[in-house]
Amino acid sequence: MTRVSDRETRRSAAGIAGKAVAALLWILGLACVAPVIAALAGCFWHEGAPSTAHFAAAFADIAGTARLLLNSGVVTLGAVLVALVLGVPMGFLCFRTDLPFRRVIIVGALVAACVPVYVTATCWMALFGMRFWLYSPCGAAWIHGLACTPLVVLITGACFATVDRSQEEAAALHTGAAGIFRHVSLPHAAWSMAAAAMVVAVLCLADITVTDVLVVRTFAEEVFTQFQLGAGPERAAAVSFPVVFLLAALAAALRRKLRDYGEAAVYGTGPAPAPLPLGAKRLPIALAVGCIVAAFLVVPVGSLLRTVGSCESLLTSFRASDRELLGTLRVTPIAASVCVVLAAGAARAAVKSRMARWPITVLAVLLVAVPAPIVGIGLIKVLNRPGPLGAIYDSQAVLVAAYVIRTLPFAFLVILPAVKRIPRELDDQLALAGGGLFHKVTCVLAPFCWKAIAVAWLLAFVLSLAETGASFLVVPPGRTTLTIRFLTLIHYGVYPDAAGICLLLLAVVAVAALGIGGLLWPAMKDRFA
Amino acid sequence: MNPPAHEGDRTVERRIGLFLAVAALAAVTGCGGKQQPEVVVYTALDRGFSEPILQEFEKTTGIKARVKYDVEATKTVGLVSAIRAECERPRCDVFWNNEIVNTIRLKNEGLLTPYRPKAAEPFPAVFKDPEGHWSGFAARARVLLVNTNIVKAGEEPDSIYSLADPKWKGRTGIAKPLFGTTATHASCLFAALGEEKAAEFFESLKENEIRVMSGNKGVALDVAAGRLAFGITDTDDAIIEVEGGKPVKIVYPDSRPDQLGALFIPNTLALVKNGPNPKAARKLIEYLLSPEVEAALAKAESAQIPLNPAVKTAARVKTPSEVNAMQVDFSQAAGTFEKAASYIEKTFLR
Repeated sequence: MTRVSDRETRRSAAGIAGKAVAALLWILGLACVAPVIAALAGCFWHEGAPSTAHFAAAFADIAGTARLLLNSGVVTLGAVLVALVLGVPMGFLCFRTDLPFRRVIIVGALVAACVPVYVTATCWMALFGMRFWLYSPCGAAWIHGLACTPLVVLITGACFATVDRSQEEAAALHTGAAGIFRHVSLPHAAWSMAAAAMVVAVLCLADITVTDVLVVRTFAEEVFTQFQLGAGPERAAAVSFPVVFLLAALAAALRRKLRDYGEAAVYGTGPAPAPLPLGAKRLPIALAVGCIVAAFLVVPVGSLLRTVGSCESLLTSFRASDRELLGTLRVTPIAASVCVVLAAGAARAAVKSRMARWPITVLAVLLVAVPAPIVGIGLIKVLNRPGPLGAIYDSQAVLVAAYVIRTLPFAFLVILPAVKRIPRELDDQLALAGGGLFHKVTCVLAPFCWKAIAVAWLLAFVLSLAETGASFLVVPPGRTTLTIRFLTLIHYGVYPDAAGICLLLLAVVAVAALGIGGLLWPAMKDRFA
Repeated sequence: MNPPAHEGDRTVERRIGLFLAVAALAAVTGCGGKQQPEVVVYTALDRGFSEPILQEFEKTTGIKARVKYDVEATKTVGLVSAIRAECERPRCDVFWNNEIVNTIRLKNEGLLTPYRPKAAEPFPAVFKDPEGHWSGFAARARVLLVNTNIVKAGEEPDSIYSLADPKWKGRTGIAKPLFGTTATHASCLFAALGEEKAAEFFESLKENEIRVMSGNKGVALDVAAGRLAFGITDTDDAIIEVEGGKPVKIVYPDSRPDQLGALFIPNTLALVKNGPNPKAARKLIEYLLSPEVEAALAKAESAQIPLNPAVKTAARVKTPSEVNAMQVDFSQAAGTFEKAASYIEKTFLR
């Protein structure tokens, strides 16, 4: 009798604790969205009344808007084209064929995919010097395309690795590797290409670092410039609406297909497809792939090392940035961890409650679509006031907040498919057994979602490391990040100190990527044969 | 599935939660440090030049300087925007601007508080605000940096209008004139020449396909590397290339008496209204205006020009008394800033 009573008490306490944590996660989640909503909602108010005055002012110059549209289009579409043309065949070759050293290339792609885009830009600038052809929308598209290629290799490769084995074996009776690729693998992975294109487009449209250094004006750059020139946060936010609308519409239109792809790519059923033999072309293809890998990784990194010159010079640049490195290494992992907790909570809420699903999906799309400076503007509006909010604004917590807001939707999208696969009856059994939140996390969430959580953490970590658009605006006095320091130095050219920090950033990214990659590899190596 | 909850598990659960919460809070906000007097300074002067000075201030006074450095992408204007955005609850005490026009704009918006530092007394009146809202010191000049391998003797440019000379089409450079001293220069031209003539000047630069770079340093580097024949930049960026042995030469533009003259731009110091540490802020301003700091900035790589007559360190670049200096009413230039920026943004950079 006492045991039953104890169990009921525990169950009741666990229920209250669970609800309290859920409420806390909701509050934190809404707090993440509040700055963005505040910044965007301000566009529709002028002098205390609803108005379109900010839009009229932002888009009064039609020719200028058209130019921004053209530049943003060229940069985005060009980058998508470059990344897909290079990335899709590489993804197929590395994940589906018997290409020599393919696992090494996959590990290289994982590391390269985590490298911030401005680091890639620096590598190329170090290689070519600051040539004028780089200072154009096409130059920016080229840099973005190259930076995103490893990401495309991984996204499309993961889908190629889940092709139905029986279909391929049937096709192999009539055609060779090229035919299998064209008729079976490519149609299967078509939506992964759309997903990859979306990711590349989002990253390009939100970035201000490459376009700033290359003096190319895009919508994201314009939001930042307008705010800095004193046009007011409302007008600056109004500038971002075409991009927000376009991306939100695209994401909404492709939502179902992309979700299906996400689940198919991560949870391919049936036996893993066998590697396709490249036959006599194996060696020439291996040589061609080797050249591309060298062009992507070895040559740019080599040019950075050449710029640094000596070990002493490298150590000097490390020592000059040790405070920024420590600050970055303190804030970024915390932001990634908070982000993953919130993303897991949001994914769980979206799966369990029909009422919560729509608002969470809409907010996730909104957070993906808004340019980074809008997040910074919103944080200033919401946090810079007396009291506890001001204390957050004055501390490094404001950077954590900026990073979490910028990375949350991506972590959510990674974790969501994994949470969906948790059997509902497990929850019921756990509740009957009196398991609390701790057991829900350790017995249900962790065993089913640990791979997705690890990938989401890595994603949040590298995106936080690369974040500048919001952190530029909110970084507190007495603190700075490695990225901000680097981006200031790079304006002076690719000197040894900038190249040294660039190598330091590469090392941080490589350690994180290899750590998470190493954690995941034993569980995934069979599929990526 | 694991066994259901027990009291021991629950204790562990609580402890882990408590530990994580405390660790995260401590890591983010910092903890355990003793209270030390501090001053928050936003500085647009390059970190390499301002950091040693502020470190010396900390050593001398025991006051911790919490510094927000400028980001090169939005030189000067970014910090001005931050001060403006934070005006309801300022967290900056001292604004150390590397130019003057944006300081005057902040004064005009009522965001600065008057303070007449004792250390500013020896400075010429032209470098002090009559109402005490700002004090100028350590100047730089806007100059043409010429690659002597490309531009032969006798062909050298002598005016900012040389940037529009068709002979050098596509081979001259300027930093994006929306930020930093280039924006100041543009406002001064709008004030000195009038809106129409200044716009004509920038139009002629555009027609001559001048290269717009992301910063003045980039202009100096590209001239030194021979990618540009010449460009307009600041003396601190130019002198590094000259003293680095690059084939370059500094030309002070418009040096004839009938010409505009070279523009000299002082650093400025201002006390932000309702800043959290006014006492420490005044100490910092007094310190920065001391002859020792101007001498240090003159000796440093940036070769800034001392404006305090008491400073005996010789300037490594020419001073306003040695060349035809542009006569500018900086207050008027501050008034034209928005018009100039709007023109540059909507016409010149399109």
